[in-house]
Amino acid sequence: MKSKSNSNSIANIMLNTGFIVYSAICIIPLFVVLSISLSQEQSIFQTGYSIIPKALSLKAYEYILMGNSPILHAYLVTILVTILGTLLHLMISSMFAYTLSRNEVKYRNIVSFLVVFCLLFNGGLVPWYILLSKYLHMKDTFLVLIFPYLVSSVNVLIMRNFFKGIPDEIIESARIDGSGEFNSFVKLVVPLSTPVLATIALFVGVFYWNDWFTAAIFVENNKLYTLQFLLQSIMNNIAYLQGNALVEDVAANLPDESARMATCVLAVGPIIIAYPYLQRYFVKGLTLGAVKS
Amino acid sequence: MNNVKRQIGILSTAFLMSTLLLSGCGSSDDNGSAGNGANETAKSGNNGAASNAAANTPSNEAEEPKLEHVDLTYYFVNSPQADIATVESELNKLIEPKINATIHLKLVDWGAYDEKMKLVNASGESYDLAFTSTWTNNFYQNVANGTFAPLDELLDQYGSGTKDGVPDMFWKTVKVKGQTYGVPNFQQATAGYGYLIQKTIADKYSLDWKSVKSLKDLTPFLETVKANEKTLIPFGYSQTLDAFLLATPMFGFESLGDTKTPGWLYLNDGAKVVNQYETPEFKDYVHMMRDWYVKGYVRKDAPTLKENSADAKAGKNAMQIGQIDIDTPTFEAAGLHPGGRMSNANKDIQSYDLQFVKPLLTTDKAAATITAISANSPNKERAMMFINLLNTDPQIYNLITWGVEGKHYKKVADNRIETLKDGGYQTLSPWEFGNMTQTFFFEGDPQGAEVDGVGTKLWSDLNRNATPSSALGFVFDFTPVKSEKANCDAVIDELYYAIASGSVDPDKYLPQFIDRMKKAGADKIIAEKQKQLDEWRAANQ
Repeated sequence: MKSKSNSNSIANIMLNTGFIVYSAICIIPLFVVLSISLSQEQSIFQTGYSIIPKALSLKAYEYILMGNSPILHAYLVTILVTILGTLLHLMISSMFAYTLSRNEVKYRNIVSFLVVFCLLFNGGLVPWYILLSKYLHMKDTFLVLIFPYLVSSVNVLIMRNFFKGIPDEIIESARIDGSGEFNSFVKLVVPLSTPVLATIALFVGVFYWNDWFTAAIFVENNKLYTLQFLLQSIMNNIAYLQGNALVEDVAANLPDESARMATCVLAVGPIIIAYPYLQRYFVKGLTLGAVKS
Repeated sequence: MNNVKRQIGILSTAFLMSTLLLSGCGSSDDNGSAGNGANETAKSGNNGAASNAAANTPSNEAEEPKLEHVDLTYYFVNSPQADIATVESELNKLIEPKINATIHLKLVDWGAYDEKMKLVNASGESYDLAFTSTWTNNFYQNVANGTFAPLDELLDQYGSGTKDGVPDMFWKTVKVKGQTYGVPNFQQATAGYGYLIQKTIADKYSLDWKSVKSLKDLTPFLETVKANEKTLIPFGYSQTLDAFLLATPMFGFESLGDTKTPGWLYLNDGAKVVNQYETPEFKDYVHMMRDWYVKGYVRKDAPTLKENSADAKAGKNAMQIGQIDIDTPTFEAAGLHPGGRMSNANKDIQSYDLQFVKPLLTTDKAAATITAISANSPNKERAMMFINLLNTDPQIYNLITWGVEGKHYKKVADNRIETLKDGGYQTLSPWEFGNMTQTFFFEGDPQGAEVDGVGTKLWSDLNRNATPSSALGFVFDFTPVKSEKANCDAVIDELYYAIASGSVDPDKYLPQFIDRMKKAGADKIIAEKQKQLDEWRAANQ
């Protein structure tokens, strides 16, 4: 008995130190970013990065929040896209998944097959672009930031499997009591499915928050730039411009190191706060969703 | 039941709120004409359809005095600009009475432009004008794909002034199979190279910086800096500042196509394509770099350093090479106060610049900035008229380049401005929009350049008198040797900078490098280059 608990505690210590080291590896870069964003520009160039800022300065944040930078506006767009996108995605995908989970639906197998098919194959970038810009006329609109991602095959499958786990008897009894399909879905199924909905909401929310690609491809109006796109484009531009003698003048005009890092800090902010609140649903939502029947 | 109603209520409130917020975003714009994104797209979509119909009717109508109103879209590359809407609406106020068209400025950022234009072109989207070049949104590739419209007739009809503003040498480079596919923006396009040295260092040790003739002559200077200035890096080296690849004329070469791939020409012998890595010039260069590296004149991590802008900003580099088209002595001779600096990002670190090799006009440089008209454009005539305005109307040119006076820049002299950093429009790329002889001078230009057009004359003379490359207008088509190029690129990425920065012993690694390139197919690429060059020569004699 004694030796067992001993080996247990050794394993514990090893595991714990392992995780502490791992967490440190994850957290330290964040602190460095935070510290750079609070540093004075010239001190970064003189001495390099450090975890504790050598010379404190709030200039970077002032530049972003007070100046004529488009970042604040992009922030608003991103928040709107994330909230609306997540809500709509949850609504549409969950209704879709619920339909697929019900045995009464006649062609559910064919539709399910199509969902899996879309999971495996897609048309590629150019047809996608043509569809959205030429046929749906969504290029350069707010909608394009939300619309293309309202249904995701993976999420539909996860939700379908979760819904399948809800006993048919509950819905049947509701029906006997006179509840319609939609009513049963909203009043019974949705409350019973909080774990999976919360999990998907987190996935989708993070996705919308981090999405820069859609904006990069479809958006030309600077009023519709999203935060991550702006950030990505600042970084990308710097990398691009520094290798090109022709545009050196322009490179000099880009936000400085500390301003870029301040943007990073702002970009990371809200989602990092949302994480812990939703995380407790995570495991439950995923494992239940993954049980195949 | 109540619960459901409440939830629906909450949802619809959320929708309502978001719509309100959104429309708020749009109308907060202080320029009515710019409008919000959704409206704009809808508008241009409709107009596109309308003008499509108009295009079906004979284009002779354009000759009539009254032009039908059209919308033009113009794709160009720059950093995101917060206040582009003001520029757009001011621009439209100027051009509407002239050509009865509205221009929509579609700005795409540097990093995304290439990718985005590929997508736009592949999808066959209808737009009118685009910035194109040898380095982004590749002109020659686009012409090969049939993306751009031939312009010869349009130029003759609507391009009066545009044609004369640009020397013939430049027009040569935008001709493919006898047809012109783009309008070169006339700008300083020659490539002279030399070195920069920090003013304070040169003065402190009274170095005879003007006497330097080649990189090798720098060694004693570097020794002085190394011995006396502990905080400085004697020679700023990074992958983007590799002399051999950047300043090919300094070594007596010009590159054909992508500089890194094997196959260059000697400047004094434009006939034979050689493998630049096998030449004695390259051998000399790497041995010199090895010497400098061992003595500690460059950073220890130089071979992996992608760029050194942080060092430049901090003013740590005492010397470095650079593209210098007009050097300090030339400026002084012209009576200008030279504005040389080690890095544009740090105005405090002034420099002396000295040119080693006279400027050369290569295809790469001459075709570096072009405006083209899309083959899908429904309004090619009008697009040409707009190009003509950019090339001949200083007011329009300066508006799109520098923005609105008082808001984006302030005038400090007759032809000189100071850009306003918080104005929201600061493209800093006068070479992007048209004939650059019309531009204002700004902080980056030497003092006095604006007086009597001295500054403009300096660079435009440089262009007109530059030695044209013996292969000006030749473009290498890589497709027959695609896989060889990929293999060679892999070898170059692996070994080149290690050798060129001097971090490894060239006696051991240079032969190995050449050997591996040969195995990767270097000779085949060179043979293909030779073949294409000969064919091009025969066709263009």
